[in-house]
Amino acid sequence: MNTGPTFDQGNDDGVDLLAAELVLGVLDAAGRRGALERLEREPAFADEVARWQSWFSPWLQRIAPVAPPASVWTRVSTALWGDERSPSDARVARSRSRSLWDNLGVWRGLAAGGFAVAVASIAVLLFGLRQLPVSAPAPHPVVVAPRPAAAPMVVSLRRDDGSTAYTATVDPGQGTVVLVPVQPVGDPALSPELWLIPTGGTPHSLGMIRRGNAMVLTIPSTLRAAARGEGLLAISLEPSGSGPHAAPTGPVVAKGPLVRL
Amino acid sequence: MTQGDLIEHPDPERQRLRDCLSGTARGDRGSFEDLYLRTSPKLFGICLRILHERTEAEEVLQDVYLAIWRKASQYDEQRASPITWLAMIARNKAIDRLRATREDRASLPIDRARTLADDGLDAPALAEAASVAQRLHDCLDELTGEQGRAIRVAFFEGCTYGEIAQRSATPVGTVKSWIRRGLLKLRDCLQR
Repeated sequence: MNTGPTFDQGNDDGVDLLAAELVLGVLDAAGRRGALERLEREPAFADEVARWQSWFSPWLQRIAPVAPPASVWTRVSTALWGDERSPSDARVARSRSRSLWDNLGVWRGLAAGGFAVAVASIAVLLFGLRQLPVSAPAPHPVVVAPRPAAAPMVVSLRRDDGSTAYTATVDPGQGTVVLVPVQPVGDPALSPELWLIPTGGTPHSLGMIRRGNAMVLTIPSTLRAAARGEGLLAISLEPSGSGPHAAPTGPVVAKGPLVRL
Repeated sequence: MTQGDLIEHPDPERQRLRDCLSGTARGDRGSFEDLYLRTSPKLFGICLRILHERTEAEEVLQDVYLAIWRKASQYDEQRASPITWLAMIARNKAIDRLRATREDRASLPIDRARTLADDGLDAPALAEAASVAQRLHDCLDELTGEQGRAIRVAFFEGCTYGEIAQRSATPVGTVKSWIRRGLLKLRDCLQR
């Protein structure tokens, strides 16, 4: 059965009504796919679709609103950021977390217990602010022998407008980078890649990174010495599905200096 | 404002949604949360209307907001009001889900389809509707009964030509002809 666009029916003069048929929803799966492809490719067709959408929009207004269950927001939030706050809670927590992210003293305090506490604290900062008074001690104090040469470093990777895109905790001793996304960077069609740039040196890839979730990256043993020194972490945007690369090919969208705790 | 677009909200609300969308496009989580709080009941209503199954509508609504988060930067205010753009994303996702999961919805009795399709139009809100809504309504009134009904069933139920044909026990060519002629009339009427 052909339910795709037809141009051969005498009764409507073969006029191309594909845009209207797409908006109305009468196309079958194959017809829809074809129309959606045209929508991507042809601006004139997209204009036509937009026109039909606005013509039909009064009907959409007639559909009664129905409050969705809270679980929908939980799933959206978990998919994007890996946490489960309700919107109103999140708004409160966010305004507090911003100031905490920017306060290096807090990070120094957290680092007293070493890397494990720093990681636990990132989790607390991100996910548990509501329950935790700001002045409370870290939840699992752990005494770790000082490792001066390999003290963890915190990097706030900032976008050009100064906002933090990712926060990284670099532990050269363990050879790990814990990377936590704060705000998304750039075109979602591109893949972010993390770079270590020693002062006066060239960028070394630490790998492709995720957009939505925290992750742990391993620093190659050849780079661990460099990670102990001064330098920058930076994120570039690379073509999706490629990499890691020998050198950045796309724009650097966020960067920050290594700061020893 | 887009030519022919409807004033769906008083201007402050429209401006707010626009701000929420541009904040979302910049990756601002607070703006996105605000947008969700303001629009999710509307978009859930749309998903539910097309899918009927609550669990399925919830899953689609989740996809809708993930898509909104990704595509917010593509929103073009010259083309559509914020709520129209958002509503169309919801509608498209819901219809995509229908096409993917229901091979045969033709067994639904036409009576049900008629009831579901028509109740949306009986709302007594027309007096307050903006001029374009009034014009659309007037233009639909100009359609003969079968044309108008078929178009409403298609719009509110997301039915294909084939499904409407089977539901109404009418040859598919006839249904296609009703709808296409109805669409042409609508277009002429609205562009007048």
